[in-house]
Amino acid sequence: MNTLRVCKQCATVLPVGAPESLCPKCLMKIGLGSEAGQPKDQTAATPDLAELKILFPQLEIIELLGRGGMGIVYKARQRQLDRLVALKILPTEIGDDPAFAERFSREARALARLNHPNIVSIYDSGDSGGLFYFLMEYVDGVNLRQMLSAGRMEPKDALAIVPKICEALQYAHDEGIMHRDIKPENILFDKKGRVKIADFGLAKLLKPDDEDLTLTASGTLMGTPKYMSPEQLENSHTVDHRADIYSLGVVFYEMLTGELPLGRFEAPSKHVHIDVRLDEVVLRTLEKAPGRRYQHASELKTGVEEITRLDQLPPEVRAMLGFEHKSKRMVFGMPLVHVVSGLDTKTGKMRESRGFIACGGNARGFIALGRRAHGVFAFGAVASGVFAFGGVSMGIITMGGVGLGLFGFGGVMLSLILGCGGVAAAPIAFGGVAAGYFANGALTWGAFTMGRNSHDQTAAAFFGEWEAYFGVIGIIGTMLSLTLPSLIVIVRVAIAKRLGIAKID
Amino acid sequence: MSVSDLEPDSTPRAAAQFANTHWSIVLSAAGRNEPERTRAALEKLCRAYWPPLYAYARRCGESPHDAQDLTQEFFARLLEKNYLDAADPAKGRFRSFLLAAFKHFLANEWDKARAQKRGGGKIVIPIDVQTAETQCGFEPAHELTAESIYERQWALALLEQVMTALRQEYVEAAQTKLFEHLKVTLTEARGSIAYATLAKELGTTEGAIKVAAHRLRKRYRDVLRREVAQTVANPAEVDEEMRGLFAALAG
Repeated sequence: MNTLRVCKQCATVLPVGAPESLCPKCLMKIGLGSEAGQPKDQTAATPDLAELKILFPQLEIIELLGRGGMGIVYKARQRQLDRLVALKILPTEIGDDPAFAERFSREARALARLNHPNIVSIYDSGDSGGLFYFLMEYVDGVNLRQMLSAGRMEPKDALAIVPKICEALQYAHDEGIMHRDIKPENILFDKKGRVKIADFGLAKLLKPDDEDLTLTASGTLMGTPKYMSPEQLENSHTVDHRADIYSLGVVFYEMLTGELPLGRFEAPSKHVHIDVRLDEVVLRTLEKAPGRRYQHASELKTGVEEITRLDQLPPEVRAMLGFEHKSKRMVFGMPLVHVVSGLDTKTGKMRESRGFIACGGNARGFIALGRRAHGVFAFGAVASGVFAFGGVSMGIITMGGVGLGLFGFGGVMLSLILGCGGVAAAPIAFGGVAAGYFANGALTWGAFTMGRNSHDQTAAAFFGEWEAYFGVIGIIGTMLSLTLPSLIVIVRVAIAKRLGIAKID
Repeated sequence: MSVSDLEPDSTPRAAAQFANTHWSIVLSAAGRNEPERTRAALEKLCRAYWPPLYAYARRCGESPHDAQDLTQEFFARLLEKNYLDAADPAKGRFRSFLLAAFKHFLANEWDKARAQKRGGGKIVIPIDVQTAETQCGFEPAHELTAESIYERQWALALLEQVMTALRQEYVEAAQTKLFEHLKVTLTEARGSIAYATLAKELGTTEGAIKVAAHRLRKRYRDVLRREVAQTVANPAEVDEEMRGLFAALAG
């Protein structure tokens, strides 16, 4: 029984021994029709453009953007929306792992939650024809690696970039997502200079949690060892978001110095002209033990911004922002000396000084000197205390412009016992204008008065020989009230000079 | 896996890789008088390409049984005796070499050998008459010359090698079923492939089928080139050889 079979395509008779029952002529023809066969790519069986066109009909694939261990990225355009996107195809061999599809789905959903101006957005994801892909925001610009290769970065640029990255990281960490592969290649800048972090979470997706660091077919480590934290390199199970902070620290260092912090590396300020306080910040992010680093990206951001903010201000303004000196020695549970200057940066209000000797701002202490002073000896614009000297003073013995107390010597004194001053109102009052039970002055008012307009016997007897003295005291008081403010200023300036700051308020 | 990385160009790298094809080994080993290596490589080639010789013999008028004897004896001698003196490396193709050696054998030695079977009738490359007849005996194109038949059978033998190897790859990847269903897409015109039906049969998406078919086609081409390369010594000859084979099939 010899049945002849004919090939549908070329209408030739199929020989009996046709390989796999296929038409040999057509087979050969197909074989010839190819271009030069490509050598087997070791990192990924590259899907060619034809394949992609079939799989993504809604996209117009424009060009290949790049290729790496994390997959291949193409620039494309969404036809319907007429916007540019980036299509990332993950390495094809990962599709072999059956558990992968599930992990992919989970991870994609998590990444989709990330909606932040400094994170490359995910528009869509899925697996089309066995190829796992992400559709992402297209960033028209360069990455940090390219910028570093082009030339050394200015420190101020690095200091402007890092806080933005911290914001993005903190946002993602709050969402429970770690990046795990922070490196210059993953930090993008668009044409408007905005910073965008790419490839969030992909390192975890491509490497399941409990496995050892996997080698790709070409033998390269997943992730980039140069930027990986010590705990990641050791494949410790206690890797958490602080690893990202370390990686950012490496990038930070590289931005500032142009080198990687390897082995025993020098502090950045030794390489480049930056504020020495930044050393501490950078070195803290590079601590080997996660517990010693900044625990949150936001802390790093604050650390950097504090330094940069101050750097940008003129010295007078900087002076306003504050100074503080607190002595280590303690007396009666408070510092021996506490000097402050300027406004509190957080609240914008006047600072406080507390100490045995408190100086500046709102001062409280045994001896208090400040705009407001409260204490045993208080000198200030407003002062209260046992001995209160000030523009407005309240206390036992008050001296100054306006005094409210038991004994007052000064300009306008309202006292409960004795008042001596330009204007004095007290049971016993001396002054230019005196009002009281016993009043002695140019202008008097009271029960028993003596002065220009009156001369009471009882008053005279009361005041007696003290009259002269009280007169003098009154004058002294008035003079003090005029000179005290200047005195206080002189003292403050002296202290400020001593401590080397612009001034103390 | 060096053989699969073959590139059809003549760079030194390609040439180095070509050094690993069976035929290249044969040529180089024979030149260096390394009989073991020669024999090993040659045997691989002979196992694959005995059908064209059988067909040739039959076309020359030999009976099935005689053709069987003939071919088997030829191989025995070839492998034992190193007929490779006749091989001119410059020609570089196993196909031509084999036929030339066979013709030589037929003309000069067969009569004598008929009488006394070498090695006590030991058969190095076994040939089953039934299979041989089915495969190479019944040939529609009787008017073809023996050479043409040889070439045609050679092409078929090559494709057989290719498909066997290709199938094996899919079997090893536990995708036998996929291969069975998709192999038809190799020869069908792109437009007429019923992807949807295939997708349904295999329980997957049309898109996945398209990609798988595309991959199969690509892999087929790679394997084809690889197998052709086994029989030539020079990377530049692969394309030419393939064209020749196509012509042989078309004729």
